[in-house]
Amino acid sequence: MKNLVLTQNMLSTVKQSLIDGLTIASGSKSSATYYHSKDEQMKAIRTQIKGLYGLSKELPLIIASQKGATGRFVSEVLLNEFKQTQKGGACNIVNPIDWYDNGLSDKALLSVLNNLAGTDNGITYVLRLFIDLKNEKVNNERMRKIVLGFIWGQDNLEFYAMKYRNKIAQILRHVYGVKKTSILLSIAQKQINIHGGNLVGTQKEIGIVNNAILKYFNGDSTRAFKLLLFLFKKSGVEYGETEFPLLSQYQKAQTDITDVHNVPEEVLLGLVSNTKHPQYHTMWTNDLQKEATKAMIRKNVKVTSVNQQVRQTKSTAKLGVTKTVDLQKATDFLALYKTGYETSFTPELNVAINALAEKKRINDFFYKSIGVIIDDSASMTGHKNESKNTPRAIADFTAKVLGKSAEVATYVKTRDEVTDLATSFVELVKSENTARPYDAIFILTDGYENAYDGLTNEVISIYKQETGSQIPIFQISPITSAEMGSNVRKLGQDVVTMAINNPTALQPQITARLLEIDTKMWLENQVVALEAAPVKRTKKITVNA
Amino acid sequence: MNTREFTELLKGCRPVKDSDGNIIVQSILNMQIVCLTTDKEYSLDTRFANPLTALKASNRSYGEVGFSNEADKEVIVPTQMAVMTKQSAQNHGMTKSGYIGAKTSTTFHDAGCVQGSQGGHFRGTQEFRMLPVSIREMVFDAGKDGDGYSRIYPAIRELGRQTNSNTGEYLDKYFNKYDKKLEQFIAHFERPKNLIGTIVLVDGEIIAIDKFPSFTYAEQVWDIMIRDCYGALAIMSELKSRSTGQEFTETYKELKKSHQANVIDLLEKALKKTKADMTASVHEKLQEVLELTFNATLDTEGHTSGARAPKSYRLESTPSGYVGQVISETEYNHLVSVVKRDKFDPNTLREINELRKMARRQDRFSL
Repeated sequence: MKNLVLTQNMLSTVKQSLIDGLTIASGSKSSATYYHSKDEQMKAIRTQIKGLYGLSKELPLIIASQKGATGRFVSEVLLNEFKQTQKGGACNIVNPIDWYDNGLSDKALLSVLNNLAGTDNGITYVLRLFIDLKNEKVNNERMRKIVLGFIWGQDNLEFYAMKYRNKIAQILRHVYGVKKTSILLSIAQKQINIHGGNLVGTQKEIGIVNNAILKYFNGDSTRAFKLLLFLFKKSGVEYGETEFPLLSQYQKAQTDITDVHNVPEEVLLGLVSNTKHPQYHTMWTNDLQKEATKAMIRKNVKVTSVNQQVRQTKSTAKLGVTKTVDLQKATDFLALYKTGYETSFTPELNVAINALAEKKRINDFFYKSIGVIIDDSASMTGHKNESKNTPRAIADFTAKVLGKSAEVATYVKTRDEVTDLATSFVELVKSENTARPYDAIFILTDGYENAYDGLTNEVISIYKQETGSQIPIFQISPITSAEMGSNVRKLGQDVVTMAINNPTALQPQITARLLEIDTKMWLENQVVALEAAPVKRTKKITVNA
Repeated sequence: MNTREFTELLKGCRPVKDSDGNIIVQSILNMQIVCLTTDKEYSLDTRFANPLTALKASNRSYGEVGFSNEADKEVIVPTQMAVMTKQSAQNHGMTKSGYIGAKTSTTFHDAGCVQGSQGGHFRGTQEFRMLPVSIREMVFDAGKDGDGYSRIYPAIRELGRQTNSNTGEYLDKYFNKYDKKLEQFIAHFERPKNLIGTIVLVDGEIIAIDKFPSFTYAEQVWDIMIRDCYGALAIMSELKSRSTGQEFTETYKELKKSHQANVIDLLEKALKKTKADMTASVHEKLQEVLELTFNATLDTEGHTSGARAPKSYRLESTPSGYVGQVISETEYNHLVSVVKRDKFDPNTLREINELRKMARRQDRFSL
């Protein structure tokens, strides 16, 4: 990589934009929260991205490639990127030779797409983004190549085809266009029905198939054609059990769902609830039948993800089904905590939470000895706009992750039913070990004090003033929103406010404050990381015409 | 007419306290809320249905609100509930609370329009809100003395003046302007477990008292009460640029003059003292109203009647400083709603109480 072309004049503007961008990237959500409507959040995200892009086109991608950037933010960055032409926008930070000619632009885009796909439920985010591309009428060559590369390059395409059949078909139809889709389906039907799946055809036909499917797909043409025909609901195709273990079960489930194990629960429910399904009248006509069918499906299906199984704990018990879930494999802390709040924190659940916190610990955490205050008041259970207990789960898990990341952590929970952070703060500083004083204090709260507004800040101000302490005090709000800067309740001037919806977002938020020290160096490191990313656009296979 | 003592209206209730025994006072700007609780046995959790989901409102003419209770439990309508519908109809407000028997329909003819010249009647709606507490006094009076469908209009105009919302006679204009802000008040105040009532203070004076039938009922109406009813007071405070005083800082400085303790101990002491002072102040205000007596006048308009049905009474304090309503059954009070009259100066109460105390200290006449 050549040196950054960032001028000294631009540095200060870029610095502030980066800090704001990182804050929003890790705090934004697509859904409404206690304090912010969905529209407000989306507006704030888009404004931020537009601002960053205007400053320099690499900035949104650099921020979106950070760990902890939320799915919504990343999706919006990608949508913005696809909307622009490859050469559009000014490249003011990275040398344009690197960005355009050395392929850094593609690498950055693919890194961000991988970042999105790598999050929990990443595939749904990516597919939603691709649908958004259709809705926004974005259809350019770069977009087509990246979308096709992503979809046809999925190792688990058979499962995704079954689970997200309509979505993927919709995306492919948009990318190929109606005419080309029709041509591809016609070729695929001809190959499967007449040539037994072998690719035989005119040079033009083979060229179309190669360019549209096979250069992105890691597998033989028969498999690709069959998947394509399945996605577009073309009948008359046989899916063998060894070749297509999932689709063969799906075919079976179209007439009988009783002994199906590898088809997702929601797909089976969709099939049997259709009045045309042969078992509809015996399994889905009244509430009793429905409950019994749901219980049978819950018991049989083996392809439900561990996270979803954890989320289903309560409903599984309600259906009267006993199912052992390997909690150790769960990666969704919200699911674990909510199950705990709703049922109880069993020893297994606690072990799983601990293990997950250990996995999520922040490496090389800046602070070694920390004090943590957890607001346990009623408002932390959330609002009707959010799912219940979300803020509480974020706060509890973040506290645990902070504890794992630091060497020593002291915790204090608010005692009474209303938020009294001031008393908790005094309790925390009282229990400070003089041999190992706190490097930082974290207050996990929505910021709504009940004693009286500003009391905690008064106590902190006097504490700092009287002791001469310079200790950084962070308020971490689990009520996340894009426009947090203006609206998340701040405890006061002496406290740095951050909003996160996942402990992974902690590091970028802290980084956002630390990068003030050397913005240029931080940017250089990010660009080097992008350059080193092991991503490529296509998985080529060769087909002899 | 009969009389009711203030202490009798709130019997069984006590303020929620923290682990140090201080009354928990939740504040925003110059507004404070003290929550009340009671023993579990006095919370009739299974008796009444949720008013916000059990009732459907309809009307056939202006100035009336009909409710159909679809639950197989009785319902007590929260005080001064409003129907703010998206239907092409005139929004209406109740001037009081109401009692409706299980699976029963009834119409309150002492309601009022709250949407200017909008025409039309609503049908089977559950779009309920509450009238702000700042106009509760005027609306209570309008229910008793007001005339016709326009009885609430003067109160809406007053609300517009109080909140700079240019409402005219349209309550929806106020909500449209402040809805987002009002929504945030729900987060600001926390509902403690086993809540049975609230006392609201502004500038340290008690201005409204509510007692609900049960913990469950309080939970059901909490959000709407905070947002629609009490929220107006916080908005008025903001408009008047009222702010919370730095009570803790002042207390700390005072203590520092006379104590040599280390900083943290001093912080702890100052914090405890700040809370104790807040408790003492609320305690004092509550003490003042304990002596209040209310004249209770039976009100039958709209409420489901029957030998065993709870009865509704209008309340007017003596001296005339507080007005309200109680729905009670034999001697048991299900719902109490009292508000201070805007023009009433609590100092009058203080003077009367002083005289009363002096009188109690005097010996009886003898030779």
